[in-house]
Amino acid sequence: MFVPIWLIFFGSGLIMAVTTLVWSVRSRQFDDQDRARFLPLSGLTRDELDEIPSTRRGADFVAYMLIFGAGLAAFLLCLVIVLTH
Amino acid sequence: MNFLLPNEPGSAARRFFLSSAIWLLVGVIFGLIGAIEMVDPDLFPAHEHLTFGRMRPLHINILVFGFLMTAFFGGFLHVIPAVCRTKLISERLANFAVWFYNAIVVAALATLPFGLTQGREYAELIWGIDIAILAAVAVLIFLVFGTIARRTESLLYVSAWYIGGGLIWTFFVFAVGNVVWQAPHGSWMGIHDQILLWFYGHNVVGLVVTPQAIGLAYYIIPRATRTPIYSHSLSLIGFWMLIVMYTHTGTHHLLQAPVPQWLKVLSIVNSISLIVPVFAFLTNVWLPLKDRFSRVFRDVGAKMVFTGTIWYFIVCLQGPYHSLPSVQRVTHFTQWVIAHSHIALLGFGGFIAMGATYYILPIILKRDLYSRLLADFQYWLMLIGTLGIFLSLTFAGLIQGEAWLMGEVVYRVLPELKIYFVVRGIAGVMVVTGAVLFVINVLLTILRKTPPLPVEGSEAETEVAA
Ligand code: HEM
Ligand code: HEM
Repeated sequence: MFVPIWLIFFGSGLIMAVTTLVWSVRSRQFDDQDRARFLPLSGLTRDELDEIPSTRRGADFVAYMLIFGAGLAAFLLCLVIVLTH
Repeated sequence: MNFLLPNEPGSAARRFFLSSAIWLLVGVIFGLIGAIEMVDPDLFPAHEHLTFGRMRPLHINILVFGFLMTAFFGGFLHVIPAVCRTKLISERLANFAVWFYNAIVVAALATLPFGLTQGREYAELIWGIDIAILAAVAVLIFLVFGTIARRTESLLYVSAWYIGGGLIWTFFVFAVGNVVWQAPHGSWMGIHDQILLWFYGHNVVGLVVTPQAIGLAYYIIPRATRTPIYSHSLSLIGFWMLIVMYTHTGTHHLLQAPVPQWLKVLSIVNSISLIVPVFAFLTNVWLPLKDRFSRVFRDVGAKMVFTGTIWYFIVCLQGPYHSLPSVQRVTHFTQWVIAHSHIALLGFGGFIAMGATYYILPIILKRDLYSRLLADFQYWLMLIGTLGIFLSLTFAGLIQGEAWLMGEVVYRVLPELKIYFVVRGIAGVMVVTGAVLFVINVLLTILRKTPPLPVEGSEAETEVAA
């Protein structure tokens, strides 16, 4: 029973994925990709688009470095244990 | 009728956001109780409802299905109409989904503490609730695809791909992983059950949380920074690769279990290949900001979403790393994995969910957040809290891993871990405090009656197409 159910699931997933891919090629979803990049900006006024916010925040940058540092420390410590045992 | 199921645009998204904030607070309180119990296991000796075994599933289910999903649903109801340049197909139906979905989370809250559970991780909810979740997701699929079908913009932006795909995956992955055709226990037999469970378990994070969070980030970061993504084609390649790679990774949770070797190999290879779609996404949102980095911090919501992407980077380097059997020799079954879970679901998913709430709510309500200061304070509490949880549990996990490899027995290692569990508890208090501030800020933003501000995009539409 396990294998047939799995195959039905797998098969329907594959069919859906392939159908969507074919649909997207036919409906030209992969054309005009440069315009697509701008879609989230649609609806903004010219003023809103032109304004240049200048909020440089050093503290936030430090926070990101802390996250990277914590991640790196975890990797290295783990690597030491992996290599020495 | 108008209170229960209003037709006002944005009303359902607003309610989803408010419910998400409340579920975050409820969920992290259960997490904190669980964390304190790991320091003091006999905290509530006479109350079986409050024991660790009941708190843990409650914490996870309320946060994943209550907090994260409701915030994402709120986000979709705004983002899909925006990128499709149309209106939501039915605001009333969306409001129905708000009530229905929240009733489901209440049902989880009413069953899990009483031991009503199917006992499979991430699939604990009983059969009736599973079916209700499927019905609710089906309503959301209808809302999202119905709106996409009415679009006036022919091109589908990558957010729509991720959100639409994410919902379809949620439906199928949830149905299969919960083995819903095997009522009422919702499980299979033997090792097959575990293979199915972890196919589901990993896809809850990979094909449910990840695409929904990425879909929102792909909209919010470019819009808030007024900077288009690097390449739309690259974003679609990332989307399709996620489908191909993610579906087979579940077995990396079972590398120590007697499952077929080929399945293990497949899962490891796919886990490592996942770096490609992950970097497709990160390149796309990070690279265009190289000279405009400071723009991220103007909006507190965008800042949270961006921070979510930084956590995503760490999570997705850590993931392939601990998919390697030689690394799992040290990390598997230890607190290291719980550290990964928290930077993943709180750091990545949670920050994007909270950021989406803060970014979208003022646009829907056409007024500013109640307090930017409170939001910033919450941000720092949550960020330091998440870092604290990550570091304390990572160290605890490595101590466990090394001690076990040296042949030490489990119970003799426990006293060594206590200090790390205390630090995790303190970090947890910061996250809980942040959640209190979140509820206050969201609630007061919604309730406050101030005259509408000129909010972005409220004036005449501008053609921005290149
Ligand atoms: C490149 C991507 C990723 C890979 C290869 C990966 C790999 C892994 C592996 C191998 C484990 C099991 C570790 C063990 O039990 O020893 C795991 C656990 C986990 N991962 Fe990831 N991960 C990735 C990204 C993510 C993301 C994006 C999320 C969340 C959105 C996430 C959430 C989780 C959670 C919650 C667990 C704990 C599961 C449990 O045991 O309860 N992961 N991950
Ligand atoms: C949005 C916030 C949070 C999310 C999404 C979240 C999610 C999760 C998940 C998915 C797990 C299962 C981990 C696994 O099996 O690998 C978990 C376990 C746990 N979480 Fe959280 N969590 C959050 C915040 C917190 C907070 C603030 C605390 C308090 C300190 C906490 C305490 C715990 C505890 C004690 C466990 C059980 C760990 C174990 O079994 O060893 N969580 N959480």
